Amino acid sequence: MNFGISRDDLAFASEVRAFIAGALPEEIRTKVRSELRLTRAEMTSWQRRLFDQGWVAPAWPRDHGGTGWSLARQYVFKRELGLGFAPDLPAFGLQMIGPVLYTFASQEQKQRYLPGILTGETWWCQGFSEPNAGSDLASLKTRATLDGNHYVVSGQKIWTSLAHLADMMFCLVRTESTPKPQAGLSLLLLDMRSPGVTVRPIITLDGHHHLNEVFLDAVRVPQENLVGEPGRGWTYAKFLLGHERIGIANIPRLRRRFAALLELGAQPNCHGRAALADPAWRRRIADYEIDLKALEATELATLRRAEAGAADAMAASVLKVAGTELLQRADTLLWDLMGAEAAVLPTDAARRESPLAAVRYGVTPALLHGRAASIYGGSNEIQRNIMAGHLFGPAT
Amino acid sequence: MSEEQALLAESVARFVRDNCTPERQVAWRAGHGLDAVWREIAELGWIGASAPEAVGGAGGSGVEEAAIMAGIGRGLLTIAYIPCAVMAVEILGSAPAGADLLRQVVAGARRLTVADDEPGRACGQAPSAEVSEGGTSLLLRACKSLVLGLDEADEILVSARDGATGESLIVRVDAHDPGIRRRDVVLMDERRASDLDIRAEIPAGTVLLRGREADAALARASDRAAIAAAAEAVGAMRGAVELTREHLATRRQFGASLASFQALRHRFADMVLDLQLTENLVTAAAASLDDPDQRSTMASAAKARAAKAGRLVGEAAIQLHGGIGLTAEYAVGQYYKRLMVLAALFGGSDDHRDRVGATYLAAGRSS
Repeated sequence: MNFGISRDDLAFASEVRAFIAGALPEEIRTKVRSELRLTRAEMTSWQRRLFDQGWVAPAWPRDHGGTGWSLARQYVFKRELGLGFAPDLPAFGLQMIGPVLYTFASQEQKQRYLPGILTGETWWCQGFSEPNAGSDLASLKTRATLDGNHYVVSGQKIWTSLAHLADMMFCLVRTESTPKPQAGLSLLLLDMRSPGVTVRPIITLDGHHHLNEVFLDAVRVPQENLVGEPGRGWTYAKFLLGHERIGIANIPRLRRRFAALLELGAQPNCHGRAALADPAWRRRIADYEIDLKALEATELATLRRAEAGAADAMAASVLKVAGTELLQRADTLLWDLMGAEAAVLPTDAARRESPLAAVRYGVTPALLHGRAASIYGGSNEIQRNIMAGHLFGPAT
Repeated sequence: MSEEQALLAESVARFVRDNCTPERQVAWRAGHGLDAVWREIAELGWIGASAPEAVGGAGGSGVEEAAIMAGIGRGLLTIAYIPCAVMAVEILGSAPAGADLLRQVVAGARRLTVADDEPGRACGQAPSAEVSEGGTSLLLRACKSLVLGLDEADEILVSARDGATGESLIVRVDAHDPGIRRRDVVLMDERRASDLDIRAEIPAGTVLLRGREADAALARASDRAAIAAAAEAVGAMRGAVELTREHLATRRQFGASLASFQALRHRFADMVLDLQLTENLVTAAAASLDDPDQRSTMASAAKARAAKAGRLVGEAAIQLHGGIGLTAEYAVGQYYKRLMVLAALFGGSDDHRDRVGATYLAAGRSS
């Protein structure tokens, strides 16, 4: 769907396609297509190609190493990357802490951290959630006390993606006890190699290690690693979570699911018949495609409003809820399509046998992994609270 | 949205605000005052909004039409707008001999309806209505179902086939022809529709389109009608959502505003979410009207989604209103009934989903 996209931007899309064809190694492409996880080295090599091209940070201002592109051009760029099976780079540096740093951080901090974020040499993780502070993030308890020119940080973070691979953590800590819990929070940049940092894996439903617990035991963080002002951590955290709307629904991923539905649906099932020969199956998939078109049209409408400078407070929540629910629907459809075979938890080796095997055996792990989508990034219930807050004012 | 489009949308909103009062809506549902509405909207330029400038239209696109339709849904207008101002305008625009009549329709001087559906005919099948030679004139024999707005119409455009060659035809029939027997029904939203049994002698010059041109014109008219009905549903959904917001914000139970209860807030957030997704899809479909590769799929996608969302939003609106939502008089139930009628007419949700999915098997095998 190209409703509202200029001819120039469409021409740019073919430039991006040509770049991907030349720059993206076949092995990475295949892994992405099969929903297999990339190694850090593979991720970094791809990020380096984008960096050399000047395209690594489409949303950043040019002064800080970004592209200065319009929102429409960023949209087109991300769409081509997704449809070309380029990997999604980890969001923690480029999409989350990077914009916070170039917006709020000291000159020194910018010089020290932005280059590593752009090249992919530094990996970041997000130290927000705690065992008793999930959706109610502001109630978090990890404490940072000033001792000379260091903060001493003690507490526990949980559900920390990539902590086992990360060099740095941006960490939300309590520096003051205040009547309003949000007011006492600050944002610190914490070196994961500091003494007192312990990372323990959490194995998720799909059998993989994405998530961690991070224990912080009197970790000393230099005072100069405080971002902005003390007590404004909540403001920075909200900025960081709401910064990027373009791509929040991850439409290329939903398009790939649609392609997988058609590919698997055309294979003979255990009765020797393609599911797509059955009108009931075609209707179920058409329902999915129709809702996908509606989401695409909504992302484009959001883009047009943002380009016109209109405030659109609900847009991020709308795209997050609709995008994640649609992803889970696609995974359920694919799982149903697999019949009894869907019950098998496949090995990575099975997924590498052939392109078709990659799609087929990606279904069950994706179903399990996809349950996270409606929980992370502010659960979908929290998103509905945010929407209702805009429609009615805050709940009493 | 261009400046003209914004002006039109504003004029539609103003018309709805000033004219679509509850008393008027009751009168319209009983069939009173429809002529005055037709005159006024023709003067406002609605009918011509998307018609070519050569016949007195404004040369706009599907986007203008969608804005008008949303106003009709929002204001619960009961005129048979789609058969006349959408389908007939499209068909006449494709017919070399249709220009004069089209000019009159755009000016509001003449009104048409369309008779295409037949009892028991599946979607996409050729009509069994037949035109045969009858000496100096032609004989039309047709059974047509759920023809909208017969009392508002001067003429009917009837789909048929040539009894000798089997070719598709679209013919003009006088709405008051003595050879038309009618059985009237009342739709859920109290609009009138008629099942027709036609045995009429018609002059040879009344064949507007023939063969592939007739098929193509009818296909375009049906797609355009599907998008228009989806856009009308968006307007009706918006009306239901606004009433529900108002109700939740003002009604108090257990000593608190209903808008303070999370279960109700979330259900309402879902109504808004569904409305936004549908509205954006319908707008994109309207903008694709002139794109022959996209038009049919987008029209069917928009119509199927509007049917699904319309039902969910309408049901939620009644539920969140409680008892008042069940009364015949209150508008929230009128919106629900309009949404259900729109879901059923101009192709049901299964028909449209079948069209979207028609190419899946071939696409999957070639991937």
